[in-house]
Amino acid sequence: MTTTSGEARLPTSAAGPAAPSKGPRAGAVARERRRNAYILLAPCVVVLIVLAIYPMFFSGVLSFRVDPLYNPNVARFIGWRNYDDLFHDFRFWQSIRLTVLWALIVVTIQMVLGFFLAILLDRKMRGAGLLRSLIIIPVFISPIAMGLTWRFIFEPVAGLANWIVSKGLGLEKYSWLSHKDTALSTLMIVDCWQWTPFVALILLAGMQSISTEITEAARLDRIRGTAYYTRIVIPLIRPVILVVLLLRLVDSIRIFDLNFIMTKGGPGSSTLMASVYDYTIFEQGHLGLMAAYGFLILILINIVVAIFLNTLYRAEKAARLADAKN
Amino acid sequence: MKGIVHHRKGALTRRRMMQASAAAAGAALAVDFVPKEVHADVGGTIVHFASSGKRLANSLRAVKPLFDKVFPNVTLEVVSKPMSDALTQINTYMRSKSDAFDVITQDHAQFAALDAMGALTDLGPYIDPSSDWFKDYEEDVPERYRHMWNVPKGTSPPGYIAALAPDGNAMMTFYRKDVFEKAGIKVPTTWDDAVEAAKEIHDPEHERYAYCAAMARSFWAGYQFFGILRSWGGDYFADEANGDWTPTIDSEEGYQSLRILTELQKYAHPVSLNAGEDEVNRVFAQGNALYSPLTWGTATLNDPTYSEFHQDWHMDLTPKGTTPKSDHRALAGGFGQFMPTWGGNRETAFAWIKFLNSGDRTELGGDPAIADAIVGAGGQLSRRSTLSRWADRKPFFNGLLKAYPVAVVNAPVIPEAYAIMGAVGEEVADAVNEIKSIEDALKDANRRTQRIMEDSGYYD
Repeated sequence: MTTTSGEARLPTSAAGPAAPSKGPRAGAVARERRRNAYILLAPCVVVLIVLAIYPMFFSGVLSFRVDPLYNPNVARFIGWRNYDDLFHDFRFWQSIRLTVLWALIVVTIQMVLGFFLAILLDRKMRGAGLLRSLIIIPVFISPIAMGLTWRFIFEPVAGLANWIVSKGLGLEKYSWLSHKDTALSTLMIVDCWQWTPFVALILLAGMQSISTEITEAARLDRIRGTAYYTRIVIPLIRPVILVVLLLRLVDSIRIFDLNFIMTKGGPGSSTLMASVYDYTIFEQGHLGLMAAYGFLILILINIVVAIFLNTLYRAEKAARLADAKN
Repeated sequence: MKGIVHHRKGALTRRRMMQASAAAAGAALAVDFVPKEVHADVGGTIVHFASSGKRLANSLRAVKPLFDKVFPNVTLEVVSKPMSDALTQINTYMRSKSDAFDVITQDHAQFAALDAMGALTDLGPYIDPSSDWFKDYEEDVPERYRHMWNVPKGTSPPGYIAALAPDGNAMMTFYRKDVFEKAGIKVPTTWDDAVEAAKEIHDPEHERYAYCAAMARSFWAGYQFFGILRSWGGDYFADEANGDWTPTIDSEEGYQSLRILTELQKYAHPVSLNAGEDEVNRVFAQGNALYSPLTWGTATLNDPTYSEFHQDWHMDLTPKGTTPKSDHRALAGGFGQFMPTWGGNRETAFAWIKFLNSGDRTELGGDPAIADAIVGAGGQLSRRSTLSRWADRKPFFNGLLKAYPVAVVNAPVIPEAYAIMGAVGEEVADAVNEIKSIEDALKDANRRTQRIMEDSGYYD
């Protein structure tokens, strides 16, 4: 009987690797195991096909068509024209530029602030537990509710933020969300307010997983302050840093809810990031163009993920090799 | 599929409280409402989808207690979503042939698209038995609303009756009468006067900004632009009536329109640059903005529970340009009610639509209490007879009565109207925010309009 690679991966008995199949009984067991594996996998595969593969295939086909939501009678195949239109569209490049800028800035701020916050929370102090519980609250707030609340806070004339700026600090009122030059940075403030605690808590978990023997050894070697974090903590929690970096980076590229609720891409197209722009294209009824744009964003996210996974893999491999040498 | 958009049970939200107060106001009116006839033989359930807010869904909720008295065995359910999402959602539901709703309230500009999707029901056969009532209705609502009952099926006139509209609107000048009187300024009738007036009353140090308008990207900014364009004598296309679909947005009239919008921004409340109508109405109600020569506005600005300046807000015709082609041309707006092709309970659904549109004349089956319930909830009407009855109490209605005779259809009656409005609005918003020059924005608006029309085969 020919064994497939699938069969080779099936669990073996506790006594060790299974002996080569000899006779009909062993073959029947292997077949049954294979069948069970397929049965167990089937629901997952069906869900994946229905909810991911088919829609992706469908939108792939759609991206080569003109198919206005408002007039199905004129739908037809147009080849690469939707992609060509996007590449010649000022707003497409604007949205990509803003999305990349957004991702780089907010993720950098969140990682840096999150790291310092984690250091603070890692200290033994009274109320640290309570502080950790309080600090995570923004992560649990619905982005829609949060966006609406912040929109009122940043209202340029009667909002709380400007009340503090003018009455409390005696400064000129700031335009926040209502001017093209300040709207994006205001959105960034809100995003950092929400996600920095998340980064901090993940990094804190990483820091707290460092063995006490290592921290004790560092203390004995008089490695303290900045050196302790740069030479001990960061190298040890590097995989955690990379994972949280990847999560935040992908999330930032996909930003929609906050952007949609707070500015809808405005004023003008000054905060028009990728997902909101894609939604606008849908809102105006251009289904084919929307699908083409969605595909381009998918490719962008995949490139980012591939680069990061590759970096993560190389870093891990290098660390293992270094360990083996020592 | 019925009930897929039903709300969470139990949660007490501001919206829920507004809905409850609308229903309570309707219930209070219903106490004195004595129906001439009761149709106990009619039953079933009707699900009506409408944009949320006082003007639309809550007006329906206010009429419901009256309807319940006339049709005690009919279960009527009103479901709603915020207007900015509802317009697209309705199109999505209809494109997917959803049977979730029996009646839908939708913006006028969407009816040609709904027709192209095959979503509209010819109301003619349902109207026929009540021809006297319909004749009265036709005479009472503005002529500009006729495109809703003359939807151009294919190319063959005369079309068919697709919807009825108890709701009406037009872009108007909104101004604080007290401020204008104090400054000794008359309501501007030309765009250059409008800019001068804004300059005169602008007082940002005291948080009183002269001007505010919905300039958010996409269709809000589009309405602003086309409202001014039409008043300069410009239009969407070279000769729509004779099938010349060459876009004429990049024109002298287009330039003047964008120039005026850019000038007015100097005196604008800061929210203006990214505002939808809700934000504009809020700053009007708060007293932080004093004037808009061109806005959709809301009847609730004359409502004492909404604004302390309810007696000061007055409405008039929008300004015009200074060329011979210029004139006061308000864009007509409003919402119509249709029965989707895939809905059920047709006779009962039409009975509800007719009830909402029945008017004041009791001999034709109407009752003033119905319009009163709509007005009480914050609705605004299309029937001129009812507007006249309320005009002395609501300056907004007086403004509508002035605007209706000069109003023009806000967008071409073609399925592409909303897409064009959105595309042009994006370019306008970029120009006003100085992200693009006026010339580039006009060029791009023209190019994008041409592409939309080309995709739909207008130049084949």
